[in-house]
Amino acid sequence: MTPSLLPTPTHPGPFGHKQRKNFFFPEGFTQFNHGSYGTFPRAVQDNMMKWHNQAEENPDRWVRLDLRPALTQVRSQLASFMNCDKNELALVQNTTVGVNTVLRSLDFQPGDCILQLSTGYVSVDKTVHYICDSHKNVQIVEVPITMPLSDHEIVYQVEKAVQQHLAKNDSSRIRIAMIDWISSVPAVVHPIKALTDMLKSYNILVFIDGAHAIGQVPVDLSYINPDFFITNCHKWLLSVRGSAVLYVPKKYQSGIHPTAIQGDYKTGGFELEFSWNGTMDYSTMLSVEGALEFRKQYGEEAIMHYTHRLAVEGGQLMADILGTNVLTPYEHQVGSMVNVRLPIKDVNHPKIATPDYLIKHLLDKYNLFAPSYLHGGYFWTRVSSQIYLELKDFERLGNVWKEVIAELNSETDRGYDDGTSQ
Amino acid sequence: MTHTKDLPTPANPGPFGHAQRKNFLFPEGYTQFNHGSFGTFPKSVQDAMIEWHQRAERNPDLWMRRDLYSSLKQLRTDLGDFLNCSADELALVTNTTQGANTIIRSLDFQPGDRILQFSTGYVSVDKTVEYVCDTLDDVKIVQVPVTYPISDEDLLKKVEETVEAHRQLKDGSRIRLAIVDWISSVPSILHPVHKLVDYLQGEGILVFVDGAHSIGQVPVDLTALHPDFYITNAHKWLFSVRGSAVLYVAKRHQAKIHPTSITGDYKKGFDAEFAWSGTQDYSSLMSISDALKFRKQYGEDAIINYTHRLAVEGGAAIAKILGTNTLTPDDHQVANMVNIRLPIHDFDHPTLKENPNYIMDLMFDKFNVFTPAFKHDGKWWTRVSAQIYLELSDFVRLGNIWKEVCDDLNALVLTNSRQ
Repeated sequence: MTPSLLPTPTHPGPFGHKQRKNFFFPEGFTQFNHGSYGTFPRAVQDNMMKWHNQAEENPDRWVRLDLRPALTQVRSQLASFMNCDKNELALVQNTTVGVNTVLRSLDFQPGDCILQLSTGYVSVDKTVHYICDSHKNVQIVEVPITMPLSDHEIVYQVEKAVQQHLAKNDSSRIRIAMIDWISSVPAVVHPIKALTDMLKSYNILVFIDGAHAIGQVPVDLSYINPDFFITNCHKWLLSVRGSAVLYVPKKYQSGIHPTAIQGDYKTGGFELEFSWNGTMDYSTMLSVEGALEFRKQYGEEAIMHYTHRLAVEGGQLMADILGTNVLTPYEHQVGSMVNVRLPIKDVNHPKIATPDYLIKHLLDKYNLFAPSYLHGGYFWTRVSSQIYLELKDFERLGNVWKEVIAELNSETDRGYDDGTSQ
Repeated sequence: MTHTKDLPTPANPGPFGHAQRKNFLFPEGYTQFNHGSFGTFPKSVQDAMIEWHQRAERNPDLWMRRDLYSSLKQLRTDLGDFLNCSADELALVTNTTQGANTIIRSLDFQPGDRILQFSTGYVSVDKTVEYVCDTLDDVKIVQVPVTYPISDEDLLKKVEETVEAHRQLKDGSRIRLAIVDWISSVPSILHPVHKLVDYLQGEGILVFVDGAHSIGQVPVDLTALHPDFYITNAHKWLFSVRGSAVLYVAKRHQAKIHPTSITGDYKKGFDAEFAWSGTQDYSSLMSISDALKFRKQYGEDAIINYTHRLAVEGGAAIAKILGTNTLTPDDHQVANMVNIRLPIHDFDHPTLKENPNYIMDLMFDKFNVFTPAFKHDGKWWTRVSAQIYLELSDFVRLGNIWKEVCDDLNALVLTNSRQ
């Protein structure tokens, strides 16, 4: 399909507000933060309930006979989607579980180091810290990253850190690197192929945190060829919360075990060890089938093109309203999430020392939410584009933020009694 | 508290028995005899689950960032009341397997530590212990061999003998942790868990009670039991949706216990670490509150008394039909699950050896019922779960089904045997 025929913000086609009826949004509520917890269409919930009810009709038959083939079918569908082998995939609840699965399985030795970027996700960072706490002499090599950076600069910063570590010549070694495909806050699409190739050239294992990847950018695992990869289907693929997929190439499988060991340990192999996580409701994982079906109506290209263009144009529109700028000048570093600078006069204003004030204010007064965060000395907000949004939604959000920040700034101008100066 | 004689029984089911079927999701012609494996839940609990699910969707940020925490906290408070412990000693997890891994993989086992377990323990727990022994230096298992039937006193004696035998080794090792079933899986036996906890703690051993089958099947008072750790599945006998379990960690141990998946709240304390398991659908956990509501209509006494009496009387009825016996002669060792010997003459029946799924397939396809068959002490048994939606007539029907299955199996051997 030629790009000009794909839906855009000016020609949304099947997307925009007409999609709202396919979802669960109450009247007056607009979802600007799809990136955090995702949401899903009714059709996907129906699919989830189909699986849920099938289990209840005969729980023994379901668990003992029908569940594994159903999960295998989902893995096959995801394998086609991501260009890999279904036997290299395991369904898990979320990225946090996927990261813990790999990191807590690896047999870290004294002198091993784990490389991560300062922009990595907090749960991943904490898991890495846990590994260091629970092993002898395992250290973190952190690459300080302040966006905006070009793709080239990102690769350069990481490679520089690797070389600096090598130059220490102290018999320690960087064993594994945790790399975001699309970071959380700020949300930036990283040059993932270049990073992976570069790190592997130094014999460093590459674990791609693709929490935000599937459904937002094309994922071709054969092409990227990471050592490990995790992605949440319940973010951008539109499945129900609690559905993620972990990629472990065959050569590593014998060393990777679930966070919860069960009856197939050492007797079943990777597939069986990961096919059953104990008694739970598997319908959220199986809802991936419904999500893929829903998306097929429109095609991945159409969905990703629309959400990407909307993020770019919507972000710019908001920046114009706020009199600020978007974080990255490189459009290809924007997936479906855009970071817009907030014109806050005092970044040390006590009300924004924690997220609570803004969360409450946005939800209670305006019935919407977009996360805000400090990066590189400025405050930003991250806005998620989606097929149920249009350009005028971004315009409204821009005006809401304008009002919220104006109020904060007026307090700064008047002088405030902080009592809690940093 | 009502006298036992006023509570529902198999002869006088009151609100229970087939009258309950309409409250559940069973299709016509299907009877659930294996509640113990995966549980099931009333329609009202499913409706509530869907409502929790929709609520999250109406405003995911409001739910995930704000209301979820207070809802889960309220749930732990309600469970604290139910289990007679403090809410801040409880964590909500997906299932017993996850709870067991949380404890066993958090404890910092040192070389020379030993883990005591029973031969009748659950396979996933066994495997978790095996994993720990594989990945740590000189951590080994000390096993208590158990064959039923055995009285509570004799079981306790066996444990004492095992501990004493280990002490006699005088090899510098120490039993650090003991894992004890409250109600084992197969065979399903109600253990003298209070006495076991007292004895083992008296020996300086940490006790992890695997109560997968306890909540909703027996009264649980964690203050009276005072284990070091305890796990139970709400989705088994409490009627919540699958993927809802409760982990108890005594305050004195909380600092060293971390979730199987570390999150952003690592090192912020037990409460914060376990309050959030990453993005998932929390409606299964929230359904616990609706399960408690459903049960409150009848009262725990009524439910537990009916299901227990039905298991005992139903088990006896099946044993009579089969011409065999139940595994344990002691009523107090049966809760809601009863083990009945199957009159399969050839323990090493070739059909069962060739096709381990033979009985299961037969039961699904021909009779549309299922109870697990298992081997214990050189004999075949089946485990039947009593529930409020069952009556004595169901047990009689099941007994006759098993008679047919066993008669056919026994006939198969005769025709296939070579002289």
